[in-house]
Amino acid sequence: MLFEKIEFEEDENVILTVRKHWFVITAELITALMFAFLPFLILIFLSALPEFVPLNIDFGTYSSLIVYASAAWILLTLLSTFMIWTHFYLDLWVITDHRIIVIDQIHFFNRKVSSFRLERLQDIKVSINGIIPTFLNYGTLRAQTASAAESNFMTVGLPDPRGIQSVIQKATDERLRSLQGTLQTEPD
Amino acid sequence: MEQDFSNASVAISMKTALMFGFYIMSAAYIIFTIVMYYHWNEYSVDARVTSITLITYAVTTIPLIATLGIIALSF
Repeated sequence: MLFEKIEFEEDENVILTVRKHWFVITAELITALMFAFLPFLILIFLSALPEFVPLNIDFGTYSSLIVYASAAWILLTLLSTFMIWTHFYLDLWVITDHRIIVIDQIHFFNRKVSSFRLERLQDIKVSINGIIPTFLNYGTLRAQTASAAESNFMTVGLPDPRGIQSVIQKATDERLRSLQGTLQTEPD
Repeated sequence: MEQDFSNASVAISMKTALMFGFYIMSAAYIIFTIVMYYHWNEYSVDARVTSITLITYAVTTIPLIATLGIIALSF
C-alpha cells in the first residue's frame, strides 16, 4: 500500500487526502459505459428498420457472431472504464502537517509523485471556471514553491478548492510557527 | 520473373478468425489485468477499495472473456 511506501517523519501526521470531485469521475464513467450499450442500440436500430428497407440479415443465423462481437466490445469498454477508475483513485493530494505530496497518475505507465515542504510554499491559487464547477464547488488548485519554476503543482477538478487552500494555509502557518519555536529554543 | 499477385486472395475460415480474435483479446486482457493488479496493490491507500475494485473487475470481465472463448471453440 502507498502509505507504507511514503516515508513519513516521526511526528508527521496526515491532515487530508484529496481526490478529484465525484462529478469528474461520474461524467467520465458514464461516457465510457454508454459506449458499452452501443451494440444493443445498433441491434435495436437494425431490427426496427421498416420492411421496405432491403436488409436481408437473419439475426438468428448470426446470433453467435453477434454475441461474440458484443462481448468483445463490452470487454474493451469495461477495461477502459476500469482504467478511468484506476486513474481517478490513484491520483491524489496528501496534505500532512510537514509537506504536500502530489501523486499524478497520468497513464498506467506514467506516474508522477512530487513532494514539497510546507515551509517552501510560496503561493497557492484556486480557480473555479464554468457553471457546473461553480455550482458543485470544484476547481483547479495551483501550488507554487520557492524552488525552480517546474516545481509548480497543479490539479484540476478538486472538490472544495477554497477549503483545501485554507487547510494548506493553516498547516503552513502552524509549520512556520513550530519551526520558529525550534530555532528560538536552540542554544547559541 | 515477376509474379502478378493482383488477383490473389487469402481465405481463412470463420473459426480461425474467431480463435485469432480470442487469442488477441486474451493476451490484451492478461497484460491489462497484471498491470491493473500491480497498480492497485502498490499504490492504493485503502485495502477495502482495492478488494472491491478487483472483485468487481473479475466478476464483470471474466464472464465476457469466457464467452469469447466458448463461442470461438464451439463455432
